[in-house]
Amino acid sequence: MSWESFLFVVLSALILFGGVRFLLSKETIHAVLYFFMILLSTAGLIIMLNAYYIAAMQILLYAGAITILVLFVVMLTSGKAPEIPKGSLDAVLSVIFSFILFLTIALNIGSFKADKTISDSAEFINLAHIGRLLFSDYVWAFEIASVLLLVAIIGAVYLVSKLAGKEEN
Amino acid sequence: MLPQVYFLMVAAGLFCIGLIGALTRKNTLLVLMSVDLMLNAVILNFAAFSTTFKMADAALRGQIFAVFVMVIAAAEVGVGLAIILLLFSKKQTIEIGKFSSLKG
Repeated sequence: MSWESFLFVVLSALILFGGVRFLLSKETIHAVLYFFMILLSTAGLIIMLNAYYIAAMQILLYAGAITILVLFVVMLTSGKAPEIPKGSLDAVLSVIFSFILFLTIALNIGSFKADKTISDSAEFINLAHIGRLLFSDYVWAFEIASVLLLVAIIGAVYLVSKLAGKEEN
Repeated sequence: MLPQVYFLMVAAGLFCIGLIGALTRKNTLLVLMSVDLMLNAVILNFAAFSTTFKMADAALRGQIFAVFVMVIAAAEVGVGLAIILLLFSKKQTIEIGKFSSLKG
């Protein structure tokens, strides 16, 4: 087994193991930690795909900012994660339908040709090229995403300011 | 050289795991995190599709779309966590079954 295949199997096993433990965890903090593990393993897989910019942004944004925010909210709300009752209709139906969805996707993807491998595209995908495209071809989407981030920041600050105002009263 | 299909299968499996989590967890924070897992699977999917092309601009389109998905996910998590904090300050719990005051 080559080096790449071994690394791929290890990272995929980490993702699946982390996913299953995330679903079955009884404490909220354990679920957050398995979430973090899944995010880092996904970043590893994206590095294997030669998409270095997306992997770096994933580690910064997801595994960095979003996990810390979630940990802050866990600290502030301190709710337990009630465990999923194993035999309830919700759990069984959702597992069945998700499995059907996975089979649908997998059977359609499985007909892709196996010789479409990951090309060694690291020589022309670099950050300068992505930046040039973002500012020339996709500048509309870029500016609208900036406005959306601004609106999200203002909205989140406004929502939480009502909390602070209530506590002072 | 690994075929592209393996990465797509992993992304599909992660998507389905996030879907199960979003449907069955009773803590609102964990539902938000499961939706985040689904978006993460979409990003992995875009990255896998983008790097099997040999021409530069076709390969970059997937990555730029993945960047925008990440931006949307970050904004959504920010606002969602603020809403969860407000809900907690009203009802002192964040269990999903307790927010049923609109139930007819």
